[in-house]
Amino acid sequence: MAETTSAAAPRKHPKGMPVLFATEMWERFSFYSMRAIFALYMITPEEYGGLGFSPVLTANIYGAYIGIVYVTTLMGGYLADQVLGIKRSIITGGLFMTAGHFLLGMIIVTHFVEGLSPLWFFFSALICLVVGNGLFKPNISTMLGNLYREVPEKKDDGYNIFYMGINLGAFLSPLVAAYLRGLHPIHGWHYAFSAAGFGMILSLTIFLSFQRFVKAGDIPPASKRKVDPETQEKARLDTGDPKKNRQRTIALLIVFVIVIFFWMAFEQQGLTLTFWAQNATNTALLPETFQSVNPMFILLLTFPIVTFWGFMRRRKKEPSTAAKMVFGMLLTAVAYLILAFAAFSGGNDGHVNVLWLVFAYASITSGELMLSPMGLSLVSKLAPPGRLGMMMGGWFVAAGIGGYLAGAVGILWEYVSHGVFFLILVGSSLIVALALFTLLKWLNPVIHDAEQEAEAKAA
Amino acid sequence: MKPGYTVVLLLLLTAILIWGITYLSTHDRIEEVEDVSMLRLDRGRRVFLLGVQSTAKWDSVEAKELTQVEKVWSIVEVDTPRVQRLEEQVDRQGVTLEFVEFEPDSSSQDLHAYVWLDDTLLNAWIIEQGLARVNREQSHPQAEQFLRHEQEAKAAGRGIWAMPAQSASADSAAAPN
Repeated sequence: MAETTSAAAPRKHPKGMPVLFATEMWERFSFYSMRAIFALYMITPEEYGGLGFSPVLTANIYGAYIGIVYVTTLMGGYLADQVLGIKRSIITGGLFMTAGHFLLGMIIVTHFVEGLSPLWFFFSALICLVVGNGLFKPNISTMLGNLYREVPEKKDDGYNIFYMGINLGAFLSPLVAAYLRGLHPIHGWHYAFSAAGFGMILSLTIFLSFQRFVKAGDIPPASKRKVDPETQEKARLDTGDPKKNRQRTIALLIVFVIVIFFWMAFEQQGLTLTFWAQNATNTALLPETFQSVNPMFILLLTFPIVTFWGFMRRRKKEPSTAAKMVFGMLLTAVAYLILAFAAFSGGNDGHVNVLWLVFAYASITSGELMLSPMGLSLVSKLAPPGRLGMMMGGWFVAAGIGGYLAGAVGILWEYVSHGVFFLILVGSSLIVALALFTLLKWLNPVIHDAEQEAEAKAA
Repeated sequence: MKPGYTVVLLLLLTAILIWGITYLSTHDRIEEVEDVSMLRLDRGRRVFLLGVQSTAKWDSVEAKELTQVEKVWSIVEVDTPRVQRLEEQVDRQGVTLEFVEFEPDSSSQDLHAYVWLDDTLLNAWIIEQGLARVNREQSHPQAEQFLRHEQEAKAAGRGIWAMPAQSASADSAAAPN
C-alpha cells in the first residue's frame, strides 16, 4: 500500500500498518492465551496440574497482575522516550514477554523432577510479563500513530483496524489455549502457556522482518533527538486558558473514575466469570473458551453499533460521548443482572444453561463499545496543553486500579453466593451510571467544546 | 455492500455463533472411561453420569501448603472389568449431553448429565447391564426409571448382580447399539 500525495488520488494507509496489525495481533494472542488459563491454573489443585492456591490468593495475584500490567505501560512509555527509543522498547518488551510465557511453559519440568518447585518459574514469569508488556504495549500504539503523520485523516481508521487485530488475537487465543489444555489433564496447562510463547515469537519475527515499513514510526530516545528550541519554548509557553484547563482536568478525572469501575467489572472475565463457566454452567467446553466470547462480540457488534450511531447522528439524535458512557455502565449493570438472575435460578449451587453467560458477555461487550474505544481519543482531546503525557498515563493508571480492584472484589466470590456477588457488581455499575448521569449537564459542554477544538485543529 | 445488509449479515453470524456454542456445549467425543460413572471428554471436561453410582474406590488427598480449598477426592482403585466392558462399547464415540434439573447431593462442581450414544441413554444402559448400581442420593427426572432398570438387572443376574457361576455369561450382555 504505497503512500501518495497526489491531490486527485485518495491517500492510502501507510505500508507499516499491516505489519503493526499482525505484530499486535500475535502479541495479544500471547497475552490473552496466558490470561485465559491464568486464574484457573492457580486455583486448580496440584493433583490436576495446577498450583493449588486458595481462591483468595488467586484473586489477589490476578488483581495485582492485571493492575501492574497496565501501570507498567507508564514506565514503558517513559523508558522509550528517554532511554531506548520506540523500536528497541518494543523489541525488548517482546523478548521479556517471550521469556515469561516460556517460563510458564517450563513449569512442566517440575512434574518430572522431584523437589523442584514451580513457584520460582511462576513468579519469575509474571515479572517478565509485566515488564515486557509495559515496554511493548504503549509503544506499538505510539509507533502506529507516528506512521500516520503524513496521512492524519486516516489515523482514526488506522486505529480502528488495529483494534480489530487486537480482538482477532484475543478471540483466537482462548480457543487455542482450551484445545491445548484439553490434550492432557496435567501437562496441558504448559502446552497452552508455551503456545503463548510461540505467539510472541511470531509477533517479534513479523516486526523485525518488516522493519523497513515501520521505521518511519520510530522515535529515538530524547538524548538522541534534535530539539528545536523555538518549538520547545513555544510548547512551554502555550498553557491554554486556565479556566478551560481546570474544567477539562476535572472532566478527565471523572472519566478516570468511570474507567476504574468499568474495568473492575470487565476484568472479572479472567477470574470469576471463568470460575462461573467452570463450576456453574452446563457445557462440555472448557471454561476458558468463553473468554473468546467478548472479542467475538466486539468483532461482530462494532459495525452495527457504529452504524446505529451514524443513523442517530443523521437524525441529530446521537447521544453525547458522556451519555454513551452512561449507557456503557448501564449495559455493564445489565450483564451482571443477567448473571445474578441465572445464579438465583440454580447457578448458586448447581449448573445452568451456558447461554446466560453468553448473553451477559453480549451486554458487557456492548458496554465496552460505548466506553473503551473513545477513551484514549477523549483523553487526547481533553488533556490541557503540556499535560497530554500525564493524562495518558492517568488513563492507564485508572485501568490498572480497575484491574487491581477486579481482584479485590473477586475475593468476595469465596465469601458470598454467586448471585450476591453479581448483584454487588450491578450495584457498583448502577451507582457510577447514576453519578455520571447527574453530571451530564456540566460534562457535555466541556467535552463537546474539546471535541470541536480538536476537529478544528485537524481540519 | 449497503450498511444495512452488513448489519443483518453480522447479526446473522452472531446468531450462528451462539448456536455453535450451544451445540458444542452438548456434543463431544469420549476420550476416556475413568469409571463406570465418570467419562473424560475429548475437549478435556469430565462428566458424571447422572444417576449412576461409582464402582471405584475414592480417597481424599490432603491439602498441601498454600491450598485452602476442600480436600480433593481422587480415584484410587478402579473396577477394571466394568470399566473395560464400558470402554469396549463407547470409547472414542461421539455423544450428546442432556443437562436436566437435578438436586446435587453436595455442592458439586462437576458436570452431571444424561449421556446419549445415538438413541441409547448410556446412564440407563449401564444400570440395565448391571455395570453399576443406581445412585440413590441424586434426584432427577429419570430416577424411578433407573430403579426399575436396576430391578431388572438384579432379576436377570447381570453384571454385579450375577451369582459367581453365572458371571461370565452375564458379562457378555448386548451392546448399546
